[in-house]
Amino acid sequence: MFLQSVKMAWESIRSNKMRSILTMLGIIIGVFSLVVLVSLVSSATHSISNEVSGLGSSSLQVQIMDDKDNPLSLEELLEFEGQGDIGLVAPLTTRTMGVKYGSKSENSAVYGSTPEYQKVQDVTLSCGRFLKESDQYNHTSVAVVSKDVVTSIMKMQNVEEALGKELHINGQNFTVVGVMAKKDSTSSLFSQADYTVVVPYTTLTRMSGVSREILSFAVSAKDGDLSSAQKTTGDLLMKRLEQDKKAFYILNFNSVMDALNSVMATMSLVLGGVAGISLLVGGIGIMNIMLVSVTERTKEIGIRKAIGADRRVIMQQFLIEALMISLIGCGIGVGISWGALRVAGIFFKTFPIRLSPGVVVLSIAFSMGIGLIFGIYPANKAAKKKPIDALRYNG
Amino acid sequence: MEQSSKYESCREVIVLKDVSRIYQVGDETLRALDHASLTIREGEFVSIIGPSGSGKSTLMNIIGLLDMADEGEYYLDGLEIRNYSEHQLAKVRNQKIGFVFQNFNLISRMDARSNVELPLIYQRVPAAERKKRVQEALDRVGLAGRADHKPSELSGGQQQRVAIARAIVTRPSLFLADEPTGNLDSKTGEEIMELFHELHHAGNTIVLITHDPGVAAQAERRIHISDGHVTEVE
Repeated sequence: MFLQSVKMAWESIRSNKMRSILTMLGIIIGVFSLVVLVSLVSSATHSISNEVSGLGSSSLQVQIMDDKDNPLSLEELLEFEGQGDIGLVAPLTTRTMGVKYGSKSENSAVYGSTPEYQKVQDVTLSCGRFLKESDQYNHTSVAVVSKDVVTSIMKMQNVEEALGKELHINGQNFTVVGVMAKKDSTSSLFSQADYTVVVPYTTLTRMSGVSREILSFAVSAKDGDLSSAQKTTGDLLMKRLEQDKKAFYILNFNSVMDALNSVMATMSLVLGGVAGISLLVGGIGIMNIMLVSVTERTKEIGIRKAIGADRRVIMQQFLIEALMISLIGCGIGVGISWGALRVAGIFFKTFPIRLSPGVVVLSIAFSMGIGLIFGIYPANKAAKKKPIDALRYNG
Repeated sequence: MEQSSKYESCREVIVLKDVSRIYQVGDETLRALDHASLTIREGEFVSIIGPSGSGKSTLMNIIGLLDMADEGEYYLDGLEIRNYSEHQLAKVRNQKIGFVFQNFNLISRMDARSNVELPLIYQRVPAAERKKRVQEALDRVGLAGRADHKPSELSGGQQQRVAIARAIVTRPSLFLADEPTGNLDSKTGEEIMELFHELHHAGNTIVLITHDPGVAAQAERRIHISDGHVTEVE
C-alpha cells in the first residue's frame, strides 16, 4: 500500500512536471544556500583550526612584558618543570637574523632553545637529530632548520643533503644537524615560507646583541591538561614578578581555538538560519501548491473514496506527494551545492572547500520535516472531503 | 408482487426499513427520503425510477454508503449499517459495491488498467493477482486492447466499459449504477445495457437508477420513487 502510494505520488508529480519543478525550486534554493553557506564556514573553520593547531596547540606560549629589572634565567625557568601540572619548559628566545647559505640570504626566525623544545613544540624531524644536552653545555654551533630553509635558502631538494652543511647566521657558522618536518596540517592559508632555525640557547645568547634574559618560553602540560598548567604557570610568574598580572601574558592556543570555534559556530548558525528561512518559504510554496492540487483533484478524491479509499489512504497519498516534492527538491539542491562547491574549489585556492556531510544530513531532515508539516494541512483537507460532495464537485 | 427469477435466491442484499434523509434548508425541513422501505434479493436486476428531484440520487447514495440515513434501518448483505466509522464504510464500499456512474468517474491521469486496478490496491490484493484480475475484467467488457489508453483517449462507451470493469474486478455483492447510459447515445447505451444483462445472467445483483422508462423497463423489477416516497414496487 505504501509502495502504491509512492508510485501514485510519483505519477502525480510527473504528470505536472512544470508545476512540480517550480514548487521544488523553493526547496532547491533553500537547501542550496544552507549547504553551501554552512559548508564554506565549516571548511574555513577546519583549515583555520588546523593552522592554529599547527602553531602548537599542545603547549602554552608565555611572554614576559616586564621583568621588573630582574630577568628570568634559564636555571630559574627549568625549576618550573614538574611543578603542578607543568610538564616540560623550553625557552623561546627569538631573534630575526639573516641566514645565509652560498649567495642566498633570507631573514629567518632564529630560536635559542633546549632539547625540550622538540617535545614541547611537538616537532618531528625529517632527518638528522634535534639539539642535545651536550650542545647546551658546550655551546656548540649546531642548527636544526625548517624544511623551507633547506629548499629555499640552501636550494636543496633532498633534505638529507643539508645535514652537515654550514649556514652563516649573523656572521657565525652553524652546522645543520637536523631538518624539521612540515606539520601536515599546514595548508596554504598562511602560505609564506616558514624560515625557522633552532640553535642551542647557550649558543644564541653568546652572540652579539642577544641578552641572556628569557622573555619568552613554551610550557607543555603534564597530562595534556593545558588550562591547569596555565594556572600553575600563572601562579609561579605572579610570585616571581611581584604579583603584577600585567607583567606577563600566557597564550593558550586551546582557548584561542575554542573562541574561534564558537565564532564560527555562531556564523554557521546565523547563515544556516537565513538559509533555513528560505527553506521555510519553500515549504509554504509546497503547501500552497498542495492546496491547489487538493482542490483540483476533489473529484479524484471522491472517486477514490467511493471505490474504497479511506481517510488514511488519501492522507497518506497527499502526504507522500508533499514529502516527495520536498525530498526531490532537497536532492537536487544538494547535488547543485556539491557541484558549486567543486567549482568554487577550483577557483578558490586559499583553503580546501568540501561539502559538509553534517549539513547534508541536516538539510535532508529539515526538508522532510517541512514536507510533513506543510503537507499535513492539505492532506488532511483532502482526506476530510465527503465522498458525495467530492463526487458532485465540478472543477 | 415480485417477479420470480431463476437466479433469485432468498438472500437479501439490500433491506431498507423506514429510511429517511432529512436536510435542513433555512427554516424548512426537507425530507429527501421519507420512510422509504424496500428489499432487494441476491441475483435481482432492479431499476429505481423517478423524475429528477424525486430522491432517487439520495436513495442511491444511501444504498451505496456514500451518505448516511438520518432515520430507519439499513442492512447491506446482512450487515447492519449503523454507526459505521468512515474507515468501515470505505471498506464495505470497496468490497461489496461496484459503482457505475453517469459521468464514468474515471481518474483522468491514469490509464484504463490503473483505473480498474485501483479498488484492488485498496483491498491490498497482491500485484500478480491484481494483474490477472484486471485483465479478466477488461476482457469481460471487451476492452483488453485498450488497457494502456487514458480516459481522454477513449469514447464515452469505452470509458463506461472501463468503469464497469472497475466495478467487476472486486466481485461485489451489488452493482450500483447511476444513470449509466445517461451520457451515451442510444446505440452505445444499448451496448452498455447489454453488459448489465450479461452481469445479471451471471448471477449478479444489479440496482440501476434512471429517469428513462425505456431503460428501467429492461430490469426484472421497477421501484418508483417520487417526492422521497417509494410509491410503487412492481
